[in-house]
Amino acid sequence: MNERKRTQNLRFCVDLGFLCCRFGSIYGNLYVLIQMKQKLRRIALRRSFLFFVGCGVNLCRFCIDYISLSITKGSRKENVMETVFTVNSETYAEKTRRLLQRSRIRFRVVRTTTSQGCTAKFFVMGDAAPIFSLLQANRIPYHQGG
Amino acid sequence: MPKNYVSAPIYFDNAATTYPKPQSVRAAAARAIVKAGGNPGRGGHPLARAAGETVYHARETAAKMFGAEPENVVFTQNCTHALNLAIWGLLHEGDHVVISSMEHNSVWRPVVTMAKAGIITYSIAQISPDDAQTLANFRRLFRPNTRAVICTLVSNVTGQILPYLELGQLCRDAGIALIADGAQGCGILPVRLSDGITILCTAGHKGLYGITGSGMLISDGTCQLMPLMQGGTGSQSKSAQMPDFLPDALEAGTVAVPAIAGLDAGMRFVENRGTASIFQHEAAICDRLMTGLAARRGVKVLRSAVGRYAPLVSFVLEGEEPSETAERLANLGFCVRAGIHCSPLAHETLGTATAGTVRFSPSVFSTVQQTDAFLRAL
Repeated sequence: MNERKRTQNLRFCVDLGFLCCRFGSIYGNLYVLIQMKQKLRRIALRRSFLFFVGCGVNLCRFCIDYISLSITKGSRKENVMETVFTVNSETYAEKTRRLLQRSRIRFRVVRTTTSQGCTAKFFVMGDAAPIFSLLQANRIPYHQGG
Repeated sequence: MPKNYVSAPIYFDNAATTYPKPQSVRAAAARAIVKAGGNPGRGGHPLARAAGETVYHARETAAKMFGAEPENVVFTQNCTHALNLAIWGLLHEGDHVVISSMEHNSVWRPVVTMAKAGIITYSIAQISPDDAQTLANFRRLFRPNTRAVICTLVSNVTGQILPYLELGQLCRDAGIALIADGAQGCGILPVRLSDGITILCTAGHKGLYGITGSGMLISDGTCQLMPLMQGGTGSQSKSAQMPDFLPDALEAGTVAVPAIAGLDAGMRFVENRGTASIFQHEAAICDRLMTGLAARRGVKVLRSAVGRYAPLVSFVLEGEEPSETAERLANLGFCVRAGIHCSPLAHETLGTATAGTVRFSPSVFSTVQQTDAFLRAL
């Protein structure tokens, strides 16, 4: 299993834990509100620990995100291929951006105005073949490379 | 301000442009001026990017509403602009085109101009209140070189809904493109390109509740349109030719970002309300008006018992010119339109070409109380 796969698995577990605790914290807060209304503050505060757990997990999630991003960045040169292509139309650039976002593909885009007009240069994490087939399926005119 | 003008104007000229605009539309247009003040596709800086995102969002909304691809949505100044792009872009030398007898000048004038220049020939299909008769009239005029049928979805004079679904099927079977004028139909009818429409042209500021200066040409992507205007597009800048892909091929020059943002909000407003609900509300207003008019003597309403009608009523008062009626009503604070509504062809068909009619067109904001006040004023 390469570094990227391991990071993805780790992120998935953290996301799952985060969701569970987020629901827990919502439940805890609601419980606190109800109990406070009933003037049973002591019990309410005791039960509000779920809220703090939620906050803690949230913080941990950001840390893990940061670490995993660093790992991914570090391993990019060794394991993960970066696909670069340009789109020379504002409409298609925006369509591409939204398509990649919806497809949950990691990318960054640099927009400039060159002698060709509006140019959006996409740097996408992943192999070229599936990305280009995705672009072709959506009839996006692109040029491979910078 | 007129002397007898006592309160805020009561607006029944929504077939010309809807008023008032929804709050969301006004806010979106104002927000675009402030937050998306750059030129879309003309720079990589944040304001240009924001403008680009605003425009593309509107393309997506339109595409979803009319069943098209976002890149096939071309923003124009108005419906006339869109129709001219479609007519001049699609028709070539030697082509024949069939137009309906209810067409607006935005169709009639470019077609006649092209015919006078010897580029195309054209035929006019008579519109009947009977849909079967109308379809037969179209079919009869098809020739081997017929390239397109141009037809309005709803007459801007009588409100008659033309049988565009059946006409779409007829054109599809014959391999003829259907250019639909959706200026009056979009926003009250569930119009989709899958209805057999090749190119849909519509105004943004009428039934879609956008602001003036907005319109759209929506293509199904099956035909190549030659650009009517050449200029900057922000793409393929080194080339002396216009790009051959939509929307850039037809969007020469900077688009009206605030108007497009307003149109986007307007389309979402219509989608949230639902076209059927809007139609129902406006039809109830028109029914009330017609009940009131039926109780009066000397009123001629331009409607047939067999036709299907959109919420729009054209009428003539006996012994009074339509322009006089409209002026009298304007002095009392009521906004309606009189005359031939830029559709001389339709008035020739209806036999009202001399003086035209008074046109009453409500919107989703019109009320029964306003209609009653209108009837009293009349």
